[in-house]
Amino acid sequence: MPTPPINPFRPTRWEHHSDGRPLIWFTKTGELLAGDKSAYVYGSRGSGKTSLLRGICWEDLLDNPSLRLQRSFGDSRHVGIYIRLPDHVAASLGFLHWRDLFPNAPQPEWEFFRFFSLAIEVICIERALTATHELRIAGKLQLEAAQELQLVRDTLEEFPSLSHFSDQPAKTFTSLARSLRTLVRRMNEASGRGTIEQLIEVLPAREPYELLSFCVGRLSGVTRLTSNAGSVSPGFKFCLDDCEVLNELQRNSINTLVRKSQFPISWVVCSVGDAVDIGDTFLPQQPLTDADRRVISLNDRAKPDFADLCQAVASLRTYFSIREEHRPAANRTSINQFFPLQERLGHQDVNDTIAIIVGRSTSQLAVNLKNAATALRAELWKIDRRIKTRYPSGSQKFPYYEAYILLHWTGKEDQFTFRDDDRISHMLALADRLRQPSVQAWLRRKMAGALLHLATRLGVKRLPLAGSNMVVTLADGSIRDFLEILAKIYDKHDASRAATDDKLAPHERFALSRTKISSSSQIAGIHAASESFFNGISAQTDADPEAIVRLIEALGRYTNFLQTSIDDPAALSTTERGVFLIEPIQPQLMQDGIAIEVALATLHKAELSGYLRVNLVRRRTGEALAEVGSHTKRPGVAYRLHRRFAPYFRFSYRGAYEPVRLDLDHLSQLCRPDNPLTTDQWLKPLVARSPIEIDNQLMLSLRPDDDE
Amino acid sequence: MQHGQCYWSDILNYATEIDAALSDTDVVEMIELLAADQSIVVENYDLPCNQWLVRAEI
Repeated sequence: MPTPPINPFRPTRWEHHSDGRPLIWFTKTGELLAGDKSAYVYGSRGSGKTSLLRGICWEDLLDNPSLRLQRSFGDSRHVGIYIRLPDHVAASLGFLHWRDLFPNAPQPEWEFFRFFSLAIEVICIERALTATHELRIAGKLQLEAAQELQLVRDTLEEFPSLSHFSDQPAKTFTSLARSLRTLVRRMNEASGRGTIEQLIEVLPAREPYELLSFCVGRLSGVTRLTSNAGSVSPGFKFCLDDCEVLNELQRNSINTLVRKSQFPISWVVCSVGDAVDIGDTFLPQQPLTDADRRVISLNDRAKPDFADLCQAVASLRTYFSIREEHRPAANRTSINQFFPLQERLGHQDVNDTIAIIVGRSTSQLAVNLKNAATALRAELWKIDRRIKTRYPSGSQKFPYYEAYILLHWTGKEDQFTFRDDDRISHMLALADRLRQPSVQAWLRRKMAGALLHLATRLGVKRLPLAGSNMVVTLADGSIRDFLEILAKIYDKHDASRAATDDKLAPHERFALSRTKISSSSQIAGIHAASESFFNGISAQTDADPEAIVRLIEALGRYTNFLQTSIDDPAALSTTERGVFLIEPIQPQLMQDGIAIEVALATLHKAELSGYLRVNLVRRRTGEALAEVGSHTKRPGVAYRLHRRFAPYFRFSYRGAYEPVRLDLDHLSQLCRPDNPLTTDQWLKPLVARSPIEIDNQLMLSLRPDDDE
Repeated sequence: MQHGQCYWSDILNYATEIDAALSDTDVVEMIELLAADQSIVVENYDLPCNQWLVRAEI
């Protein structure tokens, strides 16, 4: 039977899987979460947070074939319970005027904490009861019927108000869970209608954490889990997803519950963005400390870890896209290598890319560079034997970017000249300096700059970017963006194939093939993915997506200018500029307060949507490094564009590394609700200021990778 | 029902120990007869039978 056309790399969003069982790769970070300690996980959009959480939660451990291939239910002694907070807690639950409701309360916020923490506890208990019920039926937890009835009886005796939320007194876990769901619905409803005062009288009297501790403690006590370590009382790990929707008081409420928790209760609290929550609680002098929870930022994931994740996810996607009868056998240890990225996409470094560009060009500049690179290769062999392995004789590997930089280098630090005379002898003389590792490192930092500079001079509009390293780098730590790029490459590959009457569907042939995907499909796919990323901004269901479009377009074109302008010597001396330090403004200097507010909100939205990445910048003051103050609560925050925009705007595929100051007042002119500047108008004064002054006193906490 | 209460899975085990030929439908029928007789109470009766919890009221 013919199978419908499938792109193995789509859908790219968890919620869009129609079968409800998306593929999960269990990572090392998942191991950390599955431990006893609570954890706070932060990550940008598409960084794999939901997959990480689902990987330790009972539903997928029970039913997800991709996860079951790697992990079994007994690998952890905790029952992971996934809770997507916005599904349970209405937005109105955060907008209550507690001072008006409790005018006599010395601390009205405490009453909010009491109310909100009850909602969270009730949601958690309801999910824990449901999980225990389902897992008992599946034979994963052992429990006796008498214990179930007793636990429900005890709970209702201790908290009799819970009976108000069901017609019949609850007897079993499922009926108690139903009452608890009704209770949460009433709380959400009352918050929306402003009738909290009436509801509060019938809510169970308890101290925060008491109800949760009572129920889940007993639940753990009466159930047994057969883990790898034998039969144990299970822990319950509540995995709260999408916690970026919480306001400060709500976050503090969750923090307090985490601070109070002890076995069998632990938490994973997951939010979009950076680790900005400092762990405030409602407990005086008891903020969350490292002892209470682990903080994990997926944005800081090591590059090899992200590359491994990409490798595994691409393998799972292709493997499970094949119909079962055609699937080759795969086991837990080899499944992640099913789609070898290096083999299928190849590896393309900067010199390979330059080789393609100069190979296509007939200009004198390209001819000169080819000659220079040939001469330099022979010279480098004399300098360092290791270089010979990188550029072996008889191969088509030439040190193009090294030759380009040395041809134009004056010999003084970061000074370049662009005279057209024959400079090969000058270059060969300078090559001797490459004996010093520091000069080699300096040169490596300029590789992407050299590529962009040369491409601009040769009039190359579309850089021929391809290779697994390129795709992983452009994904910028986001597994969703990695899949989007691969999906576009697959589209281009599929469109270039002739139809066959093979018993395999095209996507199955693709998955089972070991042939390298053509460079042309890769280049076209990478550029299409970049363009669709930009075009997708306006499709956002946002009040004013146009403001984000203008912001991203302006920053993209400005980054392009900073990195590729051949009239600006700084483009080579300080390559890969485009980390924008948005300087705060003194209130008295603000021209348009509303526009500033809108600009800050737009920046924040663009960050949450994943279009902008946050970098930390430090300022050198004498010998000490001080964090640069910012308009946000976070010190030293600067923004750069997501690397997936790089092919579209034509800036470095490694993104931006070097800081540039950007005046918030000027930026706000783009986001003004009325008569905003066009990107051309906005760029004009910035481009006219060339060469742009770079404040060398600013330094990034991250340095470029020199090994690409 | 010597335990006073048990899950469906326990009942099914007892029933098939007595008569291996008994099907799920047979056991459901027996339970429903006993429930109609008010000899037992079936909790979670609104759910599929594998989720039942049966209490003896003897």
